Amino acid sequence: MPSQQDIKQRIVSVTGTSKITRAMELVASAKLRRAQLRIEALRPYAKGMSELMAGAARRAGNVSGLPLMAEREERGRAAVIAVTGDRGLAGAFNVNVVRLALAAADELAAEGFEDVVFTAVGKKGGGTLRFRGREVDHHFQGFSSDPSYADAHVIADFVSTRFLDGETDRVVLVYNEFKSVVEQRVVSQQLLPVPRDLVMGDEEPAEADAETEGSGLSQAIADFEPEPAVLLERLLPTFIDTTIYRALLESAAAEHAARRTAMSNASDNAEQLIADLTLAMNRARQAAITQEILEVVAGADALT
Amino acid sequence: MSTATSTDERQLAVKVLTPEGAVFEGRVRMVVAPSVEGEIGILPRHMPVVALLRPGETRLRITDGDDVVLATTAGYMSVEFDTVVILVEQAEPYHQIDRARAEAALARAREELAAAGDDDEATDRAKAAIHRAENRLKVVDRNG
Repeated sequence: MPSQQDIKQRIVSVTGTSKITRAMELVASAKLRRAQLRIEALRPYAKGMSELMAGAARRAGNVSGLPLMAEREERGRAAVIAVTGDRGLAGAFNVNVVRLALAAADELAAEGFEDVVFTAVGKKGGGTLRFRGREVDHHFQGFSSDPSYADAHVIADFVSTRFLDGETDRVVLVYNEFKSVVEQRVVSQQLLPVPRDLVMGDEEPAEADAETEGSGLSQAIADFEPEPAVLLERLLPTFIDTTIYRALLESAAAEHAARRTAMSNASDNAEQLIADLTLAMNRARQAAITQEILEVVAGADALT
Repeated sequence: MSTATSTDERQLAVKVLTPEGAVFEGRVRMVVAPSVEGEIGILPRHMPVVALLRPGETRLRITDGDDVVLATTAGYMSVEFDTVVILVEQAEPYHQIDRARAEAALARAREELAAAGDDDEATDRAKAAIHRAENRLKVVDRNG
């Protein structure tokens, strides 16, 4: 049975830990709120971008000539971009991404790609993938909790260049989507070649609100400066930037949400542990007192 | 008379959007934006246009003599039925640009470029920063 002293020390140590987890929970909440605001801020821009691109694509008609959209055969080399966090202590957040990234790689291999390479975003994912002996062609890190558009642009540039140079034939993006504060979902989406239906958008709704909003109709008669095909070619890189930026923001929000949940659970567990230990300590103290009384009584008895 | 007045008061609904949020949202009389093929001025009842923008300054005339000038990066503009949507990476109102800070940013970016060496990523980043800083200063000088 542990002594009072031992239990006391453990209580002090657990209290210290719970202070840390509580602080991390609060920090994660604050960062989560900011990340959510940034997702909201991006939404109008992303929507405008999609509409513009759909308009230009419809006017350009034939989009298959664009290098960033050209479908390639399912062989050669595919790349999987895994977006994880730079830091741990966020529950299963990083593990989930790595797991789905590996699953996505298997799927690509099954489709016929000879070789699958990983592009890691975030310290944790890169480390784990390398540890598992996977090939990591580049490891971006240092911005997972507060990504900027410039960060996204650097990544987009890297993967697009490699794709255009023919070093990769398909690029898949795997990241944690922020559904709500309590729910994150790992998703994988094809980034390159840019899927046709993403560029074209939903044709039906656009025409349906042509009478009220006019977005579908007016772009059919709009004056393009430069030509639709040229404009589309310029728009695609921006679209890729935006897609990656959104993935980074979603991942950041999901990371903070996951960390908050994990730390909140840890704090609750610490509290429970302290309660249990306090009880154990009181018992030990009672036992010690009882023991002493018995000894005193026995001593007095011996004298008489 | 009344019709003439209503024509004069016809305005454009303008949104200037960046990935980091909306920089300007409101009604204006005229928009002048730097298209890749030259400055393009938009008045109410303009025909639908989709244009590619180069870095430069975008001018929003709210009323006569009251302009909002934005230093904008490359981007896109779409005009339809008196609605103008400008999508750029960054937009900064000129009166919020601090000359000293912009100059410091330019100097810092140049140092970063010099220090970047063989690192392509750092070089790209530094170059982009230099362009932004130079554009900002140009806009300040022109309106200063």
